[in-house]
Amino acid sequence: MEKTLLILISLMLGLTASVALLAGHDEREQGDYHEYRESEHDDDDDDDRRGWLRRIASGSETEQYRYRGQDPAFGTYSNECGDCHMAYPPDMLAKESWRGLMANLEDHFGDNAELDAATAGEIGSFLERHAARTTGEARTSQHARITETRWFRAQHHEIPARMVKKNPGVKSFSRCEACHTRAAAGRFNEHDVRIPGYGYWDD
Amino acid sequence: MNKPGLIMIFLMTPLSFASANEIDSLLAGYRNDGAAEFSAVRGKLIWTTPRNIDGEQRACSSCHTADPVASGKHVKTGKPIEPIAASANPERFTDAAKTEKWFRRNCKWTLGRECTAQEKGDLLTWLGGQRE
Repeated sequence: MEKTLLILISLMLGLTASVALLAGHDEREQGDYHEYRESEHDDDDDDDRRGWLRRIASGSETEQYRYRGQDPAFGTYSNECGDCHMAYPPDMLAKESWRGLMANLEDHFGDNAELDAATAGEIGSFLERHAARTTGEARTSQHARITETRWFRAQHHEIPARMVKKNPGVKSFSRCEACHTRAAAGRFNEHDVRIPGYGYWDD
Repeated sequence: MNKPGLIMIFLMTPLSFASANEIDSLLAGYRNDGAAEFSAVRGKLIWTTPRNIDGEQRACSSCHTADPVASGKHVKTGKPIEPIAASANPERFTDAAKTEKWFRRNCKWTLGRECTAQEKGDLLTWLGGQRE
């Protein structure tokens, strides 16, 4: 009887310790989304398992967004930009790219997205505060579009045009949320992908 | 009539009034800016006329569809757009700054220039008369 109790207690202690460790790991990732993205690159099942445990540890699916959500300009960013398209994670482009984009809202990839100066200023500084750190992905600064970055292309090069551009349920790679079912919560894990008309994606 | 139905009507009434008042105050503002009487017929014509801008055929209906009470879809991003008519979407035109922001953007995209006070008033007059 006493032995069973001892085993139970040590099991519980072990579980608490691993949850705490995972939570610590999670905080490090929040600080470096690029490391997280690179670790996603290996496409193994460990990633999924870790994600699953992490969800239990944090009790939330929005951990990657939390640090941005605390920024007072987050609401302005997601309201203004999210009116027309998903409010993309700011760390998917470099500071220089965001700066160029915000300076040219009148011709925003063929659309007029102009804002008053105060709102544009607030959003511009928000994007630069949370932009990709160019050290990890220097080439992003050349690109105006997330879909042109080396990182994005490496992640999506296997996906045929019929599933995206020619797929009426998707139409463009810019519509992250069309396939990444948890994109709104900042989650782009491959295991959450459901391509309209095709379903699960597994490479 | 059943009770939930009555409650729904009671809840929705102030919203539709708010929207009508907001449209009225926008129209008053356009009159102050020099617009004459507004015409729903002219408003409809602005809405339905396609124009050639930057080598593309563009119209309000490119994104909002020809029917203002229907849901639209952004022509490029595919993002769903709530109906533009206040009768189908009580939030429409309740925020004057938002209305002006979108007039500025969308007139420039669709007409290649900003809309005049007269044109905005004509459009709102036509849209205000659209019912589901």
